[in-house]
Amino acid sequence: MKHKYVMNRGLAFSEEKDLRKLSDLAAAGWKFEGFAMFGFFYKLRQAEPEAVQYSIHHEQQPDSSYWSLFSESGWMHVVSTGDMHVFEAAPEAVPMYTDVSTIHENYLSLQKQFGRWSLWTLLPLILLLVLTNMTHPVWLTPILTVLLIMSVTAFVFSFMPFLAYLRKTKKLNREL
Amino acid sequence: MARKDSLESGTLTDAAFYILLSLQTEQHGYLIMQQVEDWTGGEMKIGPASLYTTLKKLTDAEVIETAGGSGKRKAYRITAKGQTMLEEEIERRRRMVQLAEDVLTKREERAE
Repeated sequence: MKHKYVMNRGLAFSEEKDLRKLSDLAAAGWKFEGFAMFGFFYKLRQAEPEAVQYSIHHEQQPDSSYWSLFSESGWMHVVSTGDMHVFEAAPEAVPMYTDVSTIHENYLSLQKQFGRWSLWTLLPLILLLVLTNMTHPVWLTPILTVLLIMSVTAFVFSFMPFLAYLRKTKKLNREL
Repeated sequence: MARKDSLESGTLTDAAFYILLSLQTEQHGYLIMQQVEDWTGGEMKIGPASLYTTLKKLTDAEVIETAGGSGKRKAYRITAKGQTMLEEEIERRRRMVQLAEDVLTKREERAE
């Protein structure tokens, strides 16, 4: 079976664009199968060209009635990662989100989640910055540098999505 | 922020209004969606994500409650609090329509 990988531009930044792109790829015979390489790529499988739409829902504790509600409405579960669930449906299916307030709520909970992560990743970052600037033995420098890079990365990957979701909820607030 | 806190202020969104109406008899999720679509001739459709979130919110506000249901399907029923809320909402909407009709008839009368 043939596979190919397409870059994930970050669902916080280009969810609509990326999901549309996955639809286009499915129509061209490459079906979305899951995420790969820590979620930085979409994994696609060669398949019969098919007209499908994709949508994402977040739920921390999905039970069996959750899955059957979506599947009965024509939305089939494709893959989950954490509390994020990707569904696919025929183009004529009723959209998953039919009111602005639900979309707003969805983004608001993501904004809060990434906001919490930003704070949690900021704390070790500050601590490391302080340590780096204090006098310390030479052998500690490379270790501190590595930790610092990891810490900055974790913070950036939490804070950027936080800002993206914040912008989305602000925009939707005006529509509510 | 009008809509987000609408439950607390006692008004219902269109989706919540139709959901409560369809829960006059015990019903599970998918049937609610179907019933609302049938009733409105497809004018009002509720997608699964919107339905799920609204049902959760209504349950948290004790406007509806789960009624068991068989296996994979969770059934819901309206509570006494929900029934009062629905009736008040119907009254509110009736007044809205009444006002609109009054204003329009007066305008027509003036035009004649």
